[in-house]
Amino acid sequence: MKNIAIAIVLFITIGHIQAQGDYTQSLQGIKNVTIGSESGVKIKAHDKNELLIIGNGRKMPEKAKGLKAVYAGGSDNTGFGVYVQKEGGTLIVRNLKNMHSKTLEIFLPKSINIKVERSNLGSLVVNGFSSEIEATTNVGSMTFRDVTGPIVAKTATGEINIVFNKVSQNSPISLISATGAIDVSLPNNTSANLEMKTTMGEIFTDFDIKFPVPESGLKVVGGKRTIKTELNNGGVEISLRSSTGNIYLRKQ
Amino acid sequence: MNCKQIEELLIDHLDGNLDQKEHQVITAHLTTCNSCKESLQELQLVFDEIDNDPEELPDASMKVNFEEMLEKEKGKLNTPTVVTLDQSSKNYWRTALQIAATIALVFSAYFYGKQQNNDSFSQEMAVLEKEKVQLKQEVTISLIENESASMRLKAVNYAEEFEKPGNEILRALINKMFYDDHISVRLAAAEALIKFSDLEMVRKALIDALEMEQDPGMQIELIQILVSMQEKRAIPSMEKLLQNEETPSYVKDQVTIGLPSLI
Amino acid sequence: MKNLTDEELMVLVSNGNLDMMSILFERYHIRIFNFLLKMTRDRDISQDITQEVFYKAIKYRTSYKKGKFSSWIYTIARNIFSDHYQSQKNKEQRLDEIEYKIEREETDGIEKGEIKEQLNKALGRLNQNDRELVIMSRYQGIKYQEIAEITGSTAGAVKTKVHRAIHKLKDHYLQNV
Repeated sequence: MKNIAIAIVLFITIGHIQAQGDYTQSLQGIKNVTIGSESGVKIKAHDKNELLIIGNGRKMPEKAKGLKAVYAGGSDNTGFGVYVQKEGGTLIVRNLKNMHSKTLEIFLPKSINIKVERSNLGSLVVNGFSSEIEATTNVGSMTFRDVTGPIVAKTATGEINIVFNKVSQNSPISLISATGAIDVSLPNNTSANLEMKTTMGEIFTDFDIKFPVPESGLKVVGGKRTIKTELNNGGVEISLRSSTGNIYLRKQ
Repeated sequence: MNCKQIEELLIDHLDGNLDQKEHQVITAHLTTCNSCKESLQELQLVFDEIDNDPEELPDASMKVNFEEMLEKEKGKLNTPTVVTLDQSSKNYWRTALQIAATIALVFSAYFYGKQQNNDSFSQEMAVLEKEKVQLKQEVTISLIENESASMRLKAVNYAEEFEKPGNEILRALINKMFYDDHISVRLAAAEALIKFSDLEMVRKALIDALEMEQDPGMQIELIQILVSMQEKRAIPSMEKLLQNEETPSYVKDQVTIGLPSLI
Repeated sequence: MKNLTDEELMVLVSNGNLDMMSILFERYHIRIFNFLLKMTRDRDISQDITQEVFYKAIKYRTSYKKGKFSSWIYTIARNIFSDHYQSQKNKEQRLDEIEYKIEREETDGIEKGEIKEQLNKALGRLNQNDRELVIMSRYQGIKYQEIAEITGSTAGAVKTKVHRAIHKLKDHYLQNV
């Protein structure tokens, strides 16, 4: 046990030593962060009110000393292949490197609102936020851990995997994948008005769900499969939809 | 053959795709018909231009990037088979440490900040419940333009609760269904509008939405709504989707299921 | 290895011999790039999409089912292209950028060769489907049968559409010259 404790301390210390080559920016007066990236993005929560971009693998090669990196998407004002700009209460973070570049690793305070725009090929990983998150990806999958919502997320072909540690009752949660699966874990005592819908896929859950009685009268609504139910007497709106993928809703 | 028929064969004529008999007919026609001859020359001009169009070369970096990507993919392929016992035990420890550190981080993050969010919004709405409908509408309309997608969703859900919404609310919902950046909001707006689908303005908007919409998920939703509304005017849009090669097959399936009950 | 057919190489790739993809890359990347370049008129986007095409070809190598390799790779290219533009659809800024690019190229074009620019302009006035058919059929010399395989149509239908598109292209072109 003692050994492990030492190991953790050591690990964190090492983290600090490496951290000297990272980019930081104060978030004083900032409420929202908008992130644009073609490559994958990994966002984690930390305890400082600042943006931290992991520098490992993003810095200029030795040979480029005295030169400036030039990107099609805009000017590199950080030296890390990232464009960072304040616009009112919003901080814009734009990854200038291409879609095959290394995953962009970012740390932010856990209460800041995050918006991720069109991460194309790359997948999105978000860890440890109690704020509002909006995300759109094309091919890349989305993995959110230790979050509370509200979350509004859409992906064209990727999977969405989310583990909520608590569900914020503030405003609705909506997850949409055109062809990928949606996999959501909620705490057992979550109150919500739940709507799950898949056109071609299947729905699996271990929550106790009252299945709607089929409507009488022969109304043609195609292969539409919607399940609407209340969890723990109802609460915030949670909507899960996939056109062709399965939906998995799990108790924690 | 008349000029129209000849004109249709000119491209094949230039490409040498015609049999001898057709070839002779065309050649004979061209000696007598100036307008077809002109057409032929114009086509020839376009084809010459296309043939002279030089191929461009991509930047050298593309090949470098490709090689890099290939190495990476090869790496992924090899890892599981090459790992020796020794390495894997090291990896095990590294993973264990990483997990331990993550747990420590999560715990500290959990205890550090107490959730600050409150239910002020819900309280606001509860108070408004007692006030005039006019005011409720105004609030909904202002919220519906909120920069947070989740808030916009909330506004759309709220709009759905009106028994007889004013035109302003309906227009705001229709606007969201057409133009909102987030498909979640477009979907919710479309669903909210079902309730008011006895109004011609709403029916028309749903038909137009199907005509304009590019997202397959939203297309499916609109098809289902329009079919359940028995809206025959949507048939042309649906047929268009069927004919369009770009339409995903699962959207076409939805049309094929729904269409018979409209016709 | 270099004298194997595309299909033989791709079968090797799908069995895990990823190095064979280098040969296929050599054979196809310029063609795919030019196809996209004609569609988008944007070098950067075309290069990015071309990269992605080969990335996907490797990633989804096991889904290759012994058909004609060139049809398969073009199908991938088209999918990525349309995904790309679908995701751009609501971004007006993007459109402005494209228009700006065309304008700028046009002013440059007067010196280099106005005629060629006129043809590109005419091509730009075709709708996306027609433009694609003209590019595949005339610029890239792909046979009707193969275009039909790529676009999920029949050779007869493709031929009719290509012919119609060429006549439209010709008309736009002559209006400008």
